[in-house]
Amino acid sequence: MEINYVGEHTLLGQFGHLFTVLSFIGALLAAISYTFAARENNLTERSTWQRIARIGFHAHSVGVIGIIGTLFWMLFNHYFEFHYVWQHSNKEMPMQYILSCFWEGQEGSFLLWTFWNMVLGQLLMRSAKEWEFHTMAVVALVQGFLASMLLGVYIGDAHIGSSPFLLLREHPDFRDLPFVQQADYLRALDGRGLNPLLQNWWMTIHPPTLFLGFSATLFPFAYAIAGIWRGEFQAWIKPALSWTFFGICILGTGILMGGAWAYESLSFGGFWAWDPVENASLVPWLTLVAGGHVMLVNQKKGQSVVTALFLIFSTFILILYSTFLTRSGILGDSSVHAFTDLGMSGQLLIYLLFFVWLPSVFVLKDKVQIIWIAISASLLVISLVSGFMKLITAAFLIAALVITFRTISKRLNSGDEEESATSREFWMFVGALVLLISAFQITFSTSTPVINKFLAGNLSSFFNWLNGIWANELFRKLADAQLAPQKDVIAHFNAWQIPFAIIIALIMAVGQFLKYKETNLRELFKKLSVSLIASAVLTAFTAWLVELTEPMPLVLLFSSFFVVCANADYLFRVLKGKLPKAGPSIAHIGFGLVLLGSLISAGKKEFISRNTSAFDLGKEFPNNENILLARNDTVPMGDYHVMYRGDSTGGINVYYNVDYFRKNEQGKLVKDFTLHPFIQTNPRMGNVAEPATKHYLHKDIFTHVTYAKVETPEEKAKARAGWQEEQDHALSPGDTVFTSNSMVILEGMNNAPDKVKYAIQEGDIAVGAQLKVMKLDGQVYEVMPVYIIRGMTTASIDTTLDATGLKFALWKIDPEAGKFHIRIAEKESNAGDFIILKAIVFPGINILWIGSILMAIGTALAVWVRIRRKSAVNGTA
Amino acid sequence: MKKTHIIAIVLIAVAIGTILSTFLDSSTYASFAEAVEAPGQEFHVAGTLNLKKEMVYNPEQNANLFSFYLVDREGHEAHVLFNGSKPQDFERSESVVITGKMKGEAFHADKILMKCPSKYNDGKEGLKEFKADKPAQTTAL
Repeated sequence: MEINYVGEHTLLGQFGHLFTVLSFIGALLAAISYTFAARENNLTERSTWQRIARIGFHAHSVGVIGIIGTLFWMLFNHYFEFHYVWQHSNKEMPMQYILSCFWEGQEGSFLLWTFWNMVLGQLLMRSAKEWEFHTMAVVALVQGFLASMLLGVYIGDAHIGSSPFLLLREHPDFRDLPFVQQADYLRALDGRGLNPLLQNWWMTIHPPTLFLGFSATLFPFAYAIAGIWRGEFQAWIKPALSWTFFGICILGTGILMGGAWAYESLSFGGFWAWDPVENASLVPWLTLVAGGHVMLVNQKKGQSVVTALFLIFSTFILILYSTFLTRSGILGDSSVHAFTDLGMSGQLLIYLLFFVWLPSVFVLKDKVQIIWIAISASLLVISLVSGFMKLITAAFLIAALVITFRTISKRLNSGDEEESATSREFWMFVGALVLLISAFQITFSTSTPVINKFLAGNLSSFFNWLNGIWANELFRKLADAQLAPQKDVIAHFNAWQIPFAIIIALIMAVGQFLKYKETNLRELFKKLSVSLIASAVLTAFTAWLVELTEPMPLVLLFSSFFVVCANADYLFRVLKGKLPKAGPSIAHIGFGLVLLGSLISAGKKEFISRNTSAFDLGKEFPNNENILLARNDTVPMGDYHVMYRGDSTGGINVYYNVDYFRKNEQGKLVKDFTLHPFIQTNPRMGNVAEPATKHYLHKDIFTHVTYAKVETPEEKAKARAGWQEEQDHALSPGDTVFTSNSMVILEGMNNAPDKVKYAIQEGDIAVGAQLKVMKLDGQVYEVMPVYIIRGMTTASIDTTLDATGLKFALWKIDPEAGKFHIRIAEKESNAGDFIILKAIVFPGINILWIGSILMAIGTALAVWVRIRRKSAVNGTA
Repeated sequence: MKKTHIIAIVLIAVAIGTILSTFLDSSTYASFAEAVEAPGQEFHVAGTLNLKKEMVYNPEQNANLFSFYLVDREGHEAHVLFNGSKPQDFERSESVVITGKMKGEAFHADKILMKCPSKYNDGKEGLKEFKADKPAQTTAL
C-alpha cells in the first residue's frame, strides 16, 4: 500500500542524488579521458580527450557544489525527513552551528574533503601545463573514489557509500518502525541534534582546515605518480614543491587547531593526548615534512629520488589509512573520538590497497605491466576464496612496494656516490629518516586494533604454537590477539618521540649553517657558538624557573632553545632579516617554540585542585585531582583561594561561577577573576561539561567541573525549599558561631523588642537576641530572634535570613550559666549545593601557540616566495 | 662500511624496537575472570553497567572515589572502584571500557571510556573518556 506522506521534500532529495551521480560520473569521465590524453601521441586527438576530460571535471565540480548546496538547504530548513538532517541537527540549534552539523557526520566530512580536492583540482587543471593529463587523471580518479563514498547504492544489506540524501523512513534502522508508516509522521518530528561537544566555534574552523590539509597531500602524490608514469622520476619534484609545502602549512595548522580545540573546550586537560585520531592526522604530516625536505635536497643535488617518491606516496597512503582508522569503527574501544562504522570499512580498505598497488603498475612497461596486473587480479581472487586472505594481501602489498621501488632505483641507475657527513644534504636526509621512523612508531602503536584483526586466526594459532615451544610475554600477547592501548599511553609515546624530537631539533638548529657538499667544522662551531651559549644559558635559567630536573626533558629543553637561537641567529646575521628567504628560519623557530611550549606546559602542568581530605587510597591508586567546593565556601588551591558562588542558567548551559582570590600584601583575600565553566544540558545525548580557562601571558588556569548535580529550576526549587536539622548553640554575648556560609556573632540582648513587629502583648516578657551575621563575602546582616514569656507559657519567634539561607530561634535562656541557647537551621540548598572541580595550571602554553603561528607564517611565506618566483620565471620566458 | 649501511642498520634496529615496545607496553582486553587470575596486572575490561546494583559517589566524603558494578562481555560481574569523579550521565552509557587491575575483591580502575547513550549516535565524539590522576613523574608532551 502506498502512503502519501505529508510535507516531505522528496524532490529535493532526488536532486541531491542526481548531483551525487553527476559528480561520480564526471570524475570517472575525467579520469578516463585524461588517461587517454596521456597515452595519445596524436596532437588533435589528444586535445579532444583533454576537452572531454575538462568537461568531465567541470561536471564533477558542478555535482559537488550541487550536493553541498542541497544539503545546506535541507539543514537550513529543518527537513527532518532526511536521515542526515534528522541525525545532525534539530530545531533549537543556533544557526551559527549549521556548518558543524554539515560536517559532523561521515558523509558531510567526505563531502568537505571532496570539495577541497575539487577546488584545488580546478587550480591544478589551470596551472599544471604539460603535467595536466597525468596529474589530473590521478586527481579525478581519487575524486571518483570519494564520490562513490556518497553514492549510497544498496545491494541487499550491503551498500556502496552512504548517501546524505537518504530518507529517514528508508534508513535500515527506521524503515520497519511503526511511526514512519503514518502519513503525517513529520508533523511532530524534531532532529536528534548536534552533539553538544561540537557546538563550538572551533568545530567550525578546525575541520575545514584539516581537510584542506588532507586535500593538499593529494597533489604531490598526483605529481609523483605522474612522474613515474611519464618515466620522469625527477622532473615532477619541482612543480610539486609548492603543493608539498602548502600541504605542510595547512595540515600542520589544522592539527594544531585540533589541539587548541581539545585544550579550550574538551575536558582532556591538555592539548595533545596521543589519541589515535590525533595521531592519525599527525603521521601524514610528519612524512610530508620529511618528503618536502628530501625534495629540496633533490633540487640542489639531484639525488634521493627514491626516498622522495617513497615519502610522498606514504603520505597519501597514510591519509587514506588514517581515514580508514577513524571511520571504520575499528578504534571503537580505544579512541575518544572516532566515528562509528557506517559499513564502509571494506570499501575504504579496498581504496587503500588500490593506491598502494597503483605505483607498481606505472613503473612497469608493456608486457610486464599486463602480466603484473593479471597476477594481481588472480591474487585478489585467491585471497578472497582461500583462508589466508590477510597473509596473501600482506604479501601482495609487499610485492607491490618492492616492485615499485626496485624498478625505480634500477632505472635511475644512481651512482654509489657517498655524501659527506658534514654536508647539509646528508643531515637533511638523516632528519627525514628520523621523521619517517617517528611516523612509523606512532602508526604502529596506534594500529593495535588493526594488528589484533590481522593476528586473529592463522597467525594467532601460529604464535600460540611458538609460545608452546618457547613461552614468553611477546608470543603470549601475539597469540592472544587482544592488544589494548598501552598502559600509560602518554609515557609510551613520549619515550620514543622525545628522543626523536631531540635529534630533529639538533639537525634543524645546525642544518642551515651547513653547506651543501662539505662544511668546514671549525667555521661551523664558530658560527654556532653564540647560539650554543645562549641556549645553554636559557636552558639553565628555564630549568631553574620551572624546576625541571629529569635528564630527557632537560636535553629536549636545550635542543628546543638551540633551534630557536640558531635559526634566529641565521635569520638576522646571515639573512640580515631579508624576508624572501626567511620562511624556513621562521618556520623552524616556530617549531622550536612548539616543542618548548609543549615541554613546559605539559611537563610542568600542575593540578592545583589537590584533594586534601584524609581519605587516601594509597600511592598506587592516586586520587587527588578533584576537589569538592561547597557553595560560598572558600578553599585554598595553589596560589589562589577559590569560592564557588552558585550557578546560573543561560540557554541550555548551566554556568558555575567560580571566583579566584589572591592574598594581597595585607594578607586579605582580594578577588582576582571569575571563571564560568559550564555544563551543556542535553537530554538526548547526555550532559557535557566544558572547561573555562583564565589566560595570562605566562600561564593558563584551566578550570573544569567534573561533577555537579544538574537539576531543572523546578527540581532545584523543590529540593532546596526544605531545612536541615537545627543545630543548638549555647552562647554568651560576644560568642561566635560558624555556619556553612557565614559567621554569626551574638552581640547582646535586647529587652524591649519592637512590640508591633513581634506582636508582643501587654504583660509579656520579651527578650531578643541581637545577632550579627557576616557572610563570607563580607556582607553583614542583623537579625533578632525573640523569646517571649506569656504567663505560664513561653514562645520563640524565629527569624529567617534569606540571603544566607539561615533560620534563627532563641529557644531557651539559662540565667545561671549566663547562656542563651540559639538554634540555627540551614536551608537544604546550603548543603546540597556543591561542585567537583578540577583545576590545572599550564605554564608557558602561549609559547606553544606563538610557535604554531610562526610555523604557519614561515611555511606560508616559503610557499608564496616559491610561487612568485615561478610566475616571474614564466613571465620572462 | 658505508654510511648508508650504518644508517640502514640503525633504522631497522629502531624500527624493531618500536614494534617490540608496542607489543610489550600494550595492555590486554580481558574479562574479569582473567583479571582475577592475574591480580596486579593491568587489563582493559569492556562491559555493561549493572544498573540494579548500587552506584556510590559521595563527593562530600571523597570527591575522587566512585564505585559501581560492571558485567563484562562474558557475563561476569565485578565491583569497580574508580579513583575519579563520577562521569556525567554515567547511568546512561550503554557500554563501558575500564582500565585497571584487580585488587582483592574489587577492580581498581583508573580510566573509564564510555559509549554514549543513543543507539543512533554515530557522530564524532561518540565516546567519552574519563581519566584519573596519572603518576606525577610522567612527563606529558
